[in-house]
Amino acid sequence: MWTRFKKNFGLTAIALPGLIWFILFSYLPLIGIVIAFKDYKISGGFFESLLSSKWVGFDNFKFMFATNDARIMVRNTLLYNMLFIVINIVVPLFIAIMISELLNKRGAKAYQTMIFFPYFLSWVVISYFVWAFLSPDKGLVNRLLVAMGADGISWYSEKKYWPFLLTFFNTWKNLGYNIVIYLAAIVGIDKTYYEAASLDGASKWQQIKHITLPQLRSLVAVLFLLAIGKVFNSDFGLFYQVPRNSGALFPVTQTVDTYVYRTFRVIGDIGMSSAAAALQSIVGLVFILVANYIIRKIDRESALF
Amino acid sequence: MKRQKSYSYMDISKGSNVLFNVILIVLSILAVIPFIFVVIISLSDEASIVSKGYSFVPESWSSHAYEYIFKNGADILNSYGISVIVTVVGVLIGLALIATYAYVISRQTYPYRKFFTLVALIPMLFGGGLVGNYLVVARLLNLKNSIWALILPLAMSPFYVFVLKSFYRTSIPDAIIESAKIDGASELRTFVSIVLPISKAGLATIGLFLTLGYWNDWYNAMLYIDEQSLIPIQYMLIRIENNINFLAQLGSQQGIVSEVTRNLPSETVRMAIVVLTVAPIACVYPFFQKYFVGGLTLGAVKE
Amino acid sequence: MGKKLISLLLAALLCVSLFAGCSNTKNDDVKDDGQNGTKTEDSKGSDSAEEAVELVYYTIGTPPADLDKVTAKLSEMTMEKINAKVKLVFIDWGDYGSKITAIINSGEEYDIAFAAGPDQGNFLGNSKKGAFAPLDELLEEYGQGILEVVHPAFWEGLTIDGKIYGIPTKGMDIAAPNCWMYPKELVDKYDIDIDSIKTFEDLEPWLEKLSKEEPEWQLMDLDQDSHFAPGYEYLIDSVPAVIAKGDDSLTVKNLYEEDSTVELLNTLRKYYKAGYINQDAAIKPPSGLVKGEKVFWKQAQGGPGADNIWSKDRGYPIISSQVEEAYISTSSTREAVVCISSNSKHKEKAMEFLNLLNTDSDVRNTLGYGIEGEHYELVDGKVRFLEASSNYAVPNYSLGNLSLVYLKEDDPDDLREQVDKINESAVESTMLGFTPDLEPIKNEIAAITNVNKEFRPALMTGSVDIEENLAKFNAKLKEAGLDKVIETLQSQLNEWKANK
Repeated sequence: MWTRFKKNFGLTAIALPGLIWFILFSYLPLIGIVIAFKDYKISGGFFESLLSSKWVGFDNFKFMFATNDARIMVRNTLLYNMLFIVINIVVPLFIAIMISELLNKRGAKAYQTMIFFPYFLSWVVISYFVWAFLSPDKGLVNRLLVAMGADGISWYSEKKYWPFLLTFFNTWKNLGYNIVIYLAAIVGIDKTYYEAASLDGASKWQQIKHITLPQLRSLVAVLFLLAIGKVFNSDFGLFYQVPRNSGALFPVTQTVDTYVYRTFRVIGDIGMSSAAAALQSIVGLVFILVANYIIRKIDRESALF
Repeated sequence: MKRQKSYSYMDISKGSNVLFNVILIVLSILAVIPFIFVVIISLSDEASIVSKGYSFVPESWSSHAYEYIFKNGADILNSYGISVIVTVVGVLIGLALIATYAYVISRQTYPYRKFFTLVALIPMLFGGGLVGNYLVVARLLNLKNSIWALILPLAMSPFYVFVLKSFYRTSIPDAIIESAKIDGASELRTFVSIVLPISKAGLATIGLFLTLGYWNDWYNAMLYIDEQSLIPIQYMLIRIENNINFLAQLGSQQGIVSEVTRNLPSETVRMAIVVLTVAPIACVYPFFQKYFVGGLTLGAVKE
Repeated sequence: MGKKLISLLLAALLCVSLFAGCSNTKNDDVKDDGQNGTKTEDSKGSDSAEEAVELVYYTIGTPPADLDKVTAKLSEMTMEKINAKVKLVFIDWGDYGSKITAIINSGEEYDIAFAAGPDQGNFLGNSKKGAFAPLDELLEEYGQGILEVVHPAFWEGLTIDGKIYGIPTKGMDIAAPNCWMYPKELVDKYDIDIDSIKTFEDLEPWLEKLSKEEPEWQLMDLDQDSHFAPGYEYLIDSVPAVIAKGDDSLTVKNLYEEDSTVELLNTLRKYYKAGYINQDAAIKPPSGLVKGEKVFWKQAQGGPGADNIWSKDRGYPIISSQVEEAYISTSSTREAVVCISSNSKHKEKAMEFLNLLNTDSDVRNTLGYGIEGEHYELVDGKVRFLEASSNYAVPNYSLGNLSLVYLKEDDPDDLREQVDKINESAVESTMLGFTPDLEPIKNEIAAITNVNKEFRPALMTGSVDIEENLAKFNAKLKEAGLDKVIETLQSQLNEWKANK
């Protein structure tokens, strides 16, 4: 055992700074999770307070299961995430391949830069634009509809459009970021593969199918697993700011994060918000374990652990 | 190894190229229109927005929004300076930490790989929340009002570690490392002189993400910095934005606060804020881009 | 490349040694509660009067540029008067909630903090969880000046479980009544007797007339936060369990099952259909008054001097009339208070300082306006702002006794008298001093809050059909547990009343 340790000391030492960082900035703060299981009262310093506070088990978690609405929020969170995960893996992958195969490399650069831009805009700013297009009276879309003789649509109270709209905005905003990940991986693929294939007379399509995609397989698996760990979290700005907090849309916009936020604004209970975060982590953990297990079965190499 | 300019069958057909270009042009237009809009609105006259709504061609132009920001953020240059320092130092530290850690867990033969993978995975799922983080950064490490409070908490992220690890897996054949080992190179030497040079695209990607992360961060500044001279640009501007929102809400409930809400310009200032924060970082973008798009050119033309 | 890498690794090493250094030296701090040099070490006893303490005071507002200067001046004054310095920390409006939550819950030491609603220091929640110190004895001993100047109704409202936890700073408008504001231009042109308009029905003839004759004016401006419950008092914000004002029996009811509410909603619906109400009301985020926007009617909480402020905001003259009597309720007493931390080692000094803020004109005005001669000057006893005043612009309502604060140049001379008059005429709530215990019903409150946000904006702006949606709303409220909430609140109220 000791010899094994000594033999691998070189590598261990390289990972050491990172390990220390994780301990300090990720593991020590985990003590905060305990609050989720306590009726947290202040009596002196933090540890004193934590020790003297009563354990309440899962009491703080109950508010997330209290009603039918809670079911809706769970359903929305999970379904949107599933959809987003698939789209955010597949669409950028194809566009990244397109960019990488373009004949005009200058164009590739320009497109890639422009597509990245939405990532710079916050959801608040995006919500203003959405409003500029969809507002009931001054909105561009409705003015167009009316000009064509159709009736305007009150976008912010018709919930049927929003699953589509939200998915579109989410894809649009994150596209550039995800493309970068794939591009970097495509650049990293060993060029000799392509040369060999070319010499064998493989067409570009065949090369993409037999070299590029398989080479990206493990990256896709990793991105999928990392995303699935966040399956119970949601992008607050997307679901709260973009639909302008419109009540009529709640059945399709309420997610765990918006529900907790609205609750916190009224009760201000740190135990409840800690519990919500803890629940998100636990659900993520379960999903990631299952997903990893499945991937291991299919392709051992690509699994995360 | 030198090759001809390119083999014709290594490229996609002309038709596909046109199709790809069309798709990408549409996407690009969709992506930049809002930003052009942002710039125009930031230069519009507030009154014309109140009466007419957003427009590509505003009735009258005005630089009032920028004047307002520069007047209210007297130390705006200082804040830019803080942001630059934080970003540069942070990206360097972050890259060093992530590149090393990801390399170690990418090595299939390393016996403690599972342990280190697990160490990085758990924080991906579990976080300490507001109180836990504050407790450690502000109280245990005593970084309140220190520039390190802006740098260290963001230096690593499990996501970057795993993405880079998978870059390593695709771009570094095990054989190279084994041969280096046989040559008697130390682990550190192998990593520095063999692994890093062939991982430029991956490192540039993570570097870009770190840069964006640092440049856009305001949350840590909000929590840990009271000292006005240490406030990064993003937080200084976000604060103006937050205040507009918060005071508007408060003002509508309580008449008394109205004295402070008066004369908050809103739409144009918000947009000017976006311009002022995005512009510098957009200028840095090509620097990183050359590694992951430039690399493509290289690959297609010659090795 | 090689050189770059070496420097990278050096940076990493540096960072490691830095971590090690930090964690070694700071461990002790946590044990003795994390004070590290910001305070002098006089924790042994409260009577170490020789050593000056430094009070850490968190308050809300944008940090002003000249803060250090003003704090130095302030500390000079307080050193002389109570032998203590003050470290004043302003936390910006939108950040106050998160930051003070982190400070309080991580057990950081401080002395004084501003508190109000759940997202601004959470006065109720934090008092209940022991974050703030009970003040009764401290007030008795060191805060006599405060007891003298504060309206007695406040103490009833600020008492939680038998103890006082906060000192009000908003003394002047304990009972800011609801006002309806109109543009003077239209009021004069059509000779509208605004004082006779008290209900939406009173408003109707004018809406009808103006909709024809003044098409460019938006007649009524409502938003997501608009809600009307004239004659009712809420027990918990955004939970429609109410009692009727003046009801001595303290019967808790569902606001949305009251006939008057149904009537009100139908009226609003009628107005919405007639085009009097802005079309986007249900999705319009609450906002301040927008300069130049032409709006005939809007509701706001007001009081003496409000017309002036609103006129400036709007950019055209506004006049308003009070539509409800001034009303003192538990929640109106809690809109702005300062509290002393239960972790403070200098509670007595903190109270002495707060006493100064409520009795000492020099200290109070320095805090509120900055340094005389630099940020402002006095002209006939009123404040005229100097050029440097923009380097020290802080809100006054959150800092301590407003009646000590100098009037500003454009305030009416009798502002204080007007305020006193309103306060005297104010009606006290029949449940003033009652604080609901949210603990047994917090899950229901969470659910109801979300249901309320889903339906209320549309109903209260008349944007949707009332009959259908009100029934749905009530059904969902029941499902979310409104009945249990009403029942629980009722029994808490009964108990409170019996022990009163």
